[in-house]
Amino acid sequence: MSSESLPPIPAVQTNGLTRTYGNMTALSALDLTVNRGDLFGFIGSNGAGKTTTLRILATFLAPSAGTARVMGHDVVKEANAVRHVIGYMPDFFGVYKDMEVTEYLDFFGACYKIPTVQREKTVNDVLELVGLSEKKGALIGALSRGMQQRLGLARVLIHDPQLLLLDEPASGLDPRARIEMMAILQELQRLGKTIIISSHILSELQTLCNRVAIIEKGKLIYSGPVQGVRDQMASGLVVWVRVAAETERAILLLNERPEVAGVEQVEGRLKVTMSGHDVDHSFVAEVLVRGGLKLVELKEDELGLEEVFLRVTRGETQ
Amino acid sequence: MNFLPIVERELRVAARRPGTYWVRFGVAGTLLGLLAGFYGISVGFGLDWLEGGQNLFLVLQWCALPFLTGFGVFLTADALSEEKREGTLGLLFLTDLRGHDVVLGKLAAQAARGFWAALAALPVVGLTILLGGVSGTWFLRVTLVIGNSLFLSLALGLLMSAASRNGFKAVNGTCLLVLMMQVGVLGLDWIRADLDASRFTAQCSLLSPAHLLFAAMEIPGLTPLSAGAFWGQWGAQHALGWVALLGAALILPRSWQQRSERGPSAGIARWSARWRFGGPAARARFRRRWLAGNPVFWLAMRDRGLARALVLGVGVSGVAIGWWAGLSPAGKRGEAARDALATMIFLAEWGLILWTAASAAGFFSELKRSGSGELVLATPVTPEQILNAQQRSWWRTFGWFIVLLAGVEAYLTWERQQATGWSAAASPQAVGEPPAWAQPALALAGLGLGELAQIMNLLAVCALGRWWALAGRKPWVAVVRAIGLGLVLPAAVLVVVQWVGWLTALRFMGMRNGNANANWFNVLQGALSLAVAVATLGKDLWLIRWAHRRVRERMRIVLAEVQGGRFRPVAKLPTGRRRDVVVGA
Repeated sequence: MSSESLPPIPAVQTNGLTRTYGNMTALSALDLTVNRGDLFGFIGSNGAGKTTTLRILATFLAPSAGTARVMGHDVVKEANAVRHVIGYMPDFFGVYKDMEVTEYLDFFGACYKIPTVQREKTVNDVLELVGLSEKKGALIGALSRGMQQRLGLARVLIHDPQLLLLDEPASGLDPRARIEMMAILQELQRLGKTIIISSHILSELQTLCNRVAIIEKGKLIYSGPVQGVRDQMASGLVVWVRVAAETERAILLLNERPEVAGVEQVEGRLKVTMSGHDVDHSFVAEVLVRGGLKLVELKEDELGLEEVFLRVTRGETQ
Repeated sequence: MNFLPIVERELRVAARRPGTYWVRFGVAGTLLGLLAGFYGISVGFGLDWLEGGQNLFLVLQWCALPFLTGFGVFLTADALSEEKREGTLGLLFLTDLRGHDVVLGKLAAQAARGFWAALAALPVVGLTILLGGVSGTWFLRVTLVIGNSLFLSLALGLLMSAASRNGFKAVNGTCLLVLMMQVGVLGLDWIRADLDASRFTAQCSLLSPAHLLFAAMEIPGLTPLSAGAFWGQWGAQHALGWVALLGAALILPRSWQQRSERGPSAGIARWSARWRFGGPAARARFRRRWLAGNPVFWLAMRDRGLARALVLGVGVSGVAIGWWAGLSPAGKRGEAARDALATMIFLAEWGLILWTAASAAGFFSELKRSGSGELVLATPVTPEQILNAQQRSWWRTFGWFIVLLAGVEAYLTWERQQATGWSAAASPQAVGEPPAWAQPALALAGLGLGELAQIMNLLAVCALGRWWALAGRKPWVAVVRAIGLGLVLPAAVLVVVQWVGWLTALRFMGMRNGNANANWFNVLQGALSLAVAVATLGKDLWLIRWAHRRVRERMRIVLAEVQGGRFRPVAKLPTGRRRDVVVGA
């Protein structure tokens, strides 16, 4: 399934989505759009409203106000249609430990009314995709945490949904299992799935996702491309410079340039802040070398998603 | 000894629970209600059975004994197994605490709760002393026996809980042990006396608090128990409680760790899995057969251990009845077989009620606990389909057994009626006699409606078990609530209503028990039984409808909020006002 062939309907669109629990507002007027084919990272502190949003999209909770549409279907009025097009993986396993792997997937395949003749092949295919073919006959209780998580992903894929809602799919996994899980997600995106993934492991979301949303205390703080959030947060492009000697002269030379907003010395290095994000910083090396200085290090500062997250949120929970 | 930290923790938890207060209030209120009710009815209808406060005292002591014994089971039977399941017991054993510390700590904390309940009951029971006919010694002996019975049930609960990880198994095992201790030992003595054709002599029964309560009664016709005999029997029962506690303290440190994959326990586990689910080929066949229609039906049916146990149990019971009849003297074999069959049916009916509630509560509780219910509801499967699947699986497992029981019971009742009531009805009609058809017609209608009411009782218990398993935390509590509130309490109320109706009818007809016309007596009895059966049917229909609607409407939201339920405990979900949160149910 390629994203180009689909009509331009967003995979997910929420308008003023609000959910309250008694006096507490878990989600406050959330406006969110996720395009088809996106691998969308959903970031927020504990209790920020990520799981509530995913549960509303998975038709488990009704919004207190506002609307949410999934693949063009309203989550309240067309809940059944929504259930056919989503694959929902919560932040717990939800398994019967005395069931075999095949039995588990066969059961969920039947829940989606996949014909019996087709089910066996589908089960084999999804097991192959998540790398669990060897464990077909194993009892679920005997699988490791990582394998149970992969089994959960296989369950989500059994009916070939268009949208995957994954709540903390990598939580509690060891680094290898996490990397494997992320590789599977990239493969799924390549196959044309739209994926919304909530996670705390921001460094992985940074490389994995093309778009992210940051949410805090039920309010959307940012939604857009990963690069965009960095640009929005940083006051200007930052370049780190180290020279062999004559640091003071290097500061003077750099400050003479109009593109430079400021230079400061930090632990033997120079932090050069440009006047904008799109400044070509190749002049820095040229200025220093022409000035007769020995350049040891020159590095553009990449504002990580974690740093961005820490800057835009206060870590407040509700 | 270092059990005080456990006591402190348990008492803190208990202090936060509203139930701790309500149980005391409930015990005192129920007994006071019983006392006032019986006294009021007796005085109102001019009955001369009170004998001062003696008979009221008897009624109250026989109500207090099973209630407080059952309360003891309720308090401790899942106390240690729950800690094992939640992994907190291991944390206790990583500290300096030993098995006896944990057991004594749990006992002290739970005994305190039981003690407060008993303390609330005693002043009410003591009111009968003021009415006369009850001596201080008798009151003291009853207090000691009931207190000891509570202690014994607490201790047996801890023993079973120490041995088990599964809450259901621990509670069922404790109930079985307590029943064995209270009435099973009486049955053993009765069987021995029957086989020897001798008088009943208490031997095994000396361990039964129920027997001691009976023996301690100071009523005409019973030889008063000597102080030595009383204290000897009481001491033996008390010592038994300490033996159970010692057993729990020894078992607990050996049973909290997860078992090895090898060794005899693993072999038993493999055998058990094969018994319940079958081998790989059988599993695949079963899946192919049932998964295509309603997949949840397969989920509810895949554990066939109980169904197989039921077939086995019926076979073994048949053999046991035959063996028992064979042991009896030649002329009495038919009667012995009938008695044994009637006893078996009584036990089977209660077993069926328990199994029905347990299977419904267990299925829905597992859906909730494992989170699989939420995952199933994320698919196009509807709550209605889940409900139907569980109901169908129940009927498929127990249906044949229910029909068998109803058939045998109807046959025995019919036979009994023919031997007693029928002959009176067939006598020539005299002036003022009821019409000849009245008795058989009422008996037939009562029989049919009675059997129907029993099936409806089962359906009601099933429906309530489902809902309370979804709304609560522990499946066995759902079972107790379903049976207690859906069956026992309404039955008790109906018995009292039937009694009052009986007295009213007798007064209206100008009859008393002594001078009543035997045929009218039978007709009246039949009519009242019919009315009770109709009332039971009405009650069951209402309960089934109520529980069914709640499960259907709230399943989605309950299952969703359990996993993400940081905001509001499920038990406190408001009723109809929150229907808006159910999406596409």
